[in-house]
Amino acid sequence: MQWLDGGQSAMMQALDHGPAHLPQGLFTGSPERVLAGMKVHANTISHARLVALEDTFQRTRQFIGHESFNAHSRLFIQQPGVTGAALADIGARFPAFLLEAGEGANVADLARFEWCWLQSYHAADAVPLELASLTALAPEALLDQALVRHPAAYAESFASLVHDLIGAEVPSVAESYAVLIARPHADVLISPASALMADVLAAAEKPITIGNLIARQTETHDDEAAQVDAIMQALAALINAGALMAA
Amino acid sequence: MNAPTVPLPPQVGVGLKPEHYVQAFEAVSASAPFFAGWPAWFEVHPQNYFGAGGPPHRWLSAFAENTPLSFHSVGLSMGSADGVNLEELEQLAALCDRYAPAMVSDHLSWSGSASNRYPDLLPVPYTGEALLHFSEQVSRVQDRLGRTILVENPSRYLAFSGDTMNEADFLHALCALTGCSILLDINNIEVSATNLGLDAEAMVDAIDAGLVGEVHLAGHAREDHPHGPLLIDDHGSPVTDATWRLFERFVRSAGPRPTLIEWDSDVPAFDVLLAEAARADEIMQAAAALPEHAYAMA
Repeated sequence: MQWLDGGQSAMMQALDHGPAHLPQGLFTGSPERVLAGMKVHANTISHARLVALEDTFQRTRQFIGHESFNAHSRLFIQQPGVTGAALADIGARFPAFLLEAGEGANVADLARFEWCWLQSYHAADAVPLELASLTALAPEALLDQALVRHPAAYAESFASLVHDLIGAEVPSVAESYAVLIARPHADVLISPASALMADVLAAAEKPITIGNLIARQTETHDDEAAQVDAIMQALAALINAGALMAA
Repeated sequence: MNAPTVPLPPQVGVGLKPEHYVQAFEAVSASAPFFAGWPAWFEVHPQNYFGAGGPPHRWLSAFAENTPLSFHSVGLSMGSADGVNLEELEQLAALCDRYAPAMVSDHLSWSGSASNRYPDLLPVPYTGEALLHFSEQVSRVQDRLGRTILVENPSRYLAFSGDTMNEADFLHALCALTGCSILLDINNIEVSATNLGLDAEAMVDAIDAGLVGEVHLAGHAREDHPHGPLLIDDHGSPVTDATWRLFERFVRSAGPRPTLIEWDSDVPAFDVLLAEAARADEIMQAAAALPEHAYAMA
């Protein structure tokens, strides 16, 4: 058997489905020795995938216990498409898998929070907008100022367990509508976010001027003045948290 | 910018781990090394820096300003029948553009197919077919990076019945075909020799020292089976006495080379790595003190 035209895929079959798939005579040595060698590779591969999930979802693992986490992880890495990802990305669909596996929204959302945190940690560095740069603008210029979400900023609403767990470390998150995850400089910072802050950040997924943001967020409100005040407060809170940049 | 701005010095380096960032940086940013065996360079797995930004890049940028870096890739999968992993190659190229490392290396191995990744360094048969395929992939990588790379001899647990050449001959032919050089992992030689019943000293002696651009030293785990010991290359313990002896044999013959203390699992305190580095430095200093002709005669 040629290696490139069959031998390598046979070895992959054996790694995925067991040594029965290994062609006779591919390797030298006794069957016991070949099996031991294949086991080293199979164990290394499995261990690397499982450790990548453990490292990514440390809080989730702690919350549901190692045995349960390990059982889910072993099933997860057998799902179609999962092992096609690099180790750094292998956990992307794990939160959804936990939900499908019957763990419930609390556990799935705890994993989703951890994934968001990791995305923020590794996001591109970018200079956040400073509030001082807006206060120096004339009113017309302020409305024309375009904003966009900082690449490390996320405002997500999670199941109550996540708010309670994070709330034990960050004041007000337990009662907040959403959790704001941002990394304006070196460290990932967690803070509470209102529904309006989450809406504003979502609207700033693509560049948008403050004028258009206000128009968009006030069109369904009767008390426009009050809503403008609320939007400006939400904007200020997002800017203070380093969640927006000038576009 | 992709070509190295500074070469890797023929001195000891250590693998840079996040748990050692602070200690290691305090020292590299000092005006003079703390002691003779202090690491003269650091090595990282570029895959750990494929994220766009964040703290890992802040640290790596700071180190890059103060010390030569070697990028030791584990994901190009150049032995894959589907060819080198192009996504990994593009990410590696971007990282090289950003940091201009002194050295770039990967392994004589494969790690998956176009649709599936196996996070391991799987063996390649030593045949003409595999040699031509692998050399095409090395050339593809070098063309993209705009520089030559080092290819590391693997830890082997299996030997192909169809092999038509030994490991040294395969590596030498690969270097001749592509212009690449060898990253000689001496722990891997001890592992492969023990697992496959080969002569480790003969394997070291067979390597053309002139092609060796970097040396790796690491520890391994051992399992005892009825069919004999099985060494597992886990980089989780000190360098073994046997590997130290092989290293001494190599540098007495070849002279000092950039030499890495590699420790990737159960990472110990930084001082433990420094003690290993100091020992490697001592061996290289002793080799350097030998008369020039001893390099060729040992």
